[in-house]
Amino acid sequence: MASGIYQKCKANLMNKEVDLEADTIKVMLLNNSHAFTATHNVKADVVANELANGNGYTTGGATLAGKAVTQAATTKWDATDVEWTDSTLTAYHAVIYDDTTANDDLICSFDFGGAQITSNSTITLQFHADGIISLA
Amino acid sequence: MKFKAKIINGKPVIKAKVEKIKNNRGGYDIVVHLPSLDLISKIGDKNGKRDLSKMQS
Repeated sequence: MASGIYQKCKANLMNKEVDLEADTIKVMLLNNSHAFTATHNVKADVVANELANGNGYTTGGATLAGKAVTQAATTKWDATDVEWTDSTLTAYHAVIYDDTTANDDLICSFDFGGAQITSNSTITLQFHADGIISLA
Repeated sequence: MKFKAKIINGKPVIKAKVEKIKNNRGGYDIVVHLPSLDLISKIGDKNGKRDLSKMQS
């Protein structure tokens, strides 16, 4: 159980096949059958463990807004925090993927450290001040 | 919010931190504080210390 960046994302960055600011990037929630595997490439590799549609969650996940790359000694990629309001769900992981690429290439996966349960309430993913991804 | 990585099999394992906030409907809202992910993995031994011999200029 861990969090990490998929190898596919690293290759896409080097091959200029992903634009973390301009592409449509989505984040989806997953159940406890998901495990971060760095060699997974596309959404189809993980989608079997996505939460079901309904109860405040829409399959495919939420679109990230406010995406920005900030150049600095530690360059970062960040976005606006995401929330699902009035939801009733149990989530263990979040996976971020590039919805613009033909096969929805994976970017990264976050482990919540256990079941996060909402009951007609809100779950918020608060991205770190150092960004979703940083590069020093 | 600081994240301290556990070292498992010589690799840092980072997980989110979770905050539960009581809402006005008698339940709880959840805020999952996610860590920032390093694009370049740190080279470390089983204690998480960097092995400088593996770093190249």
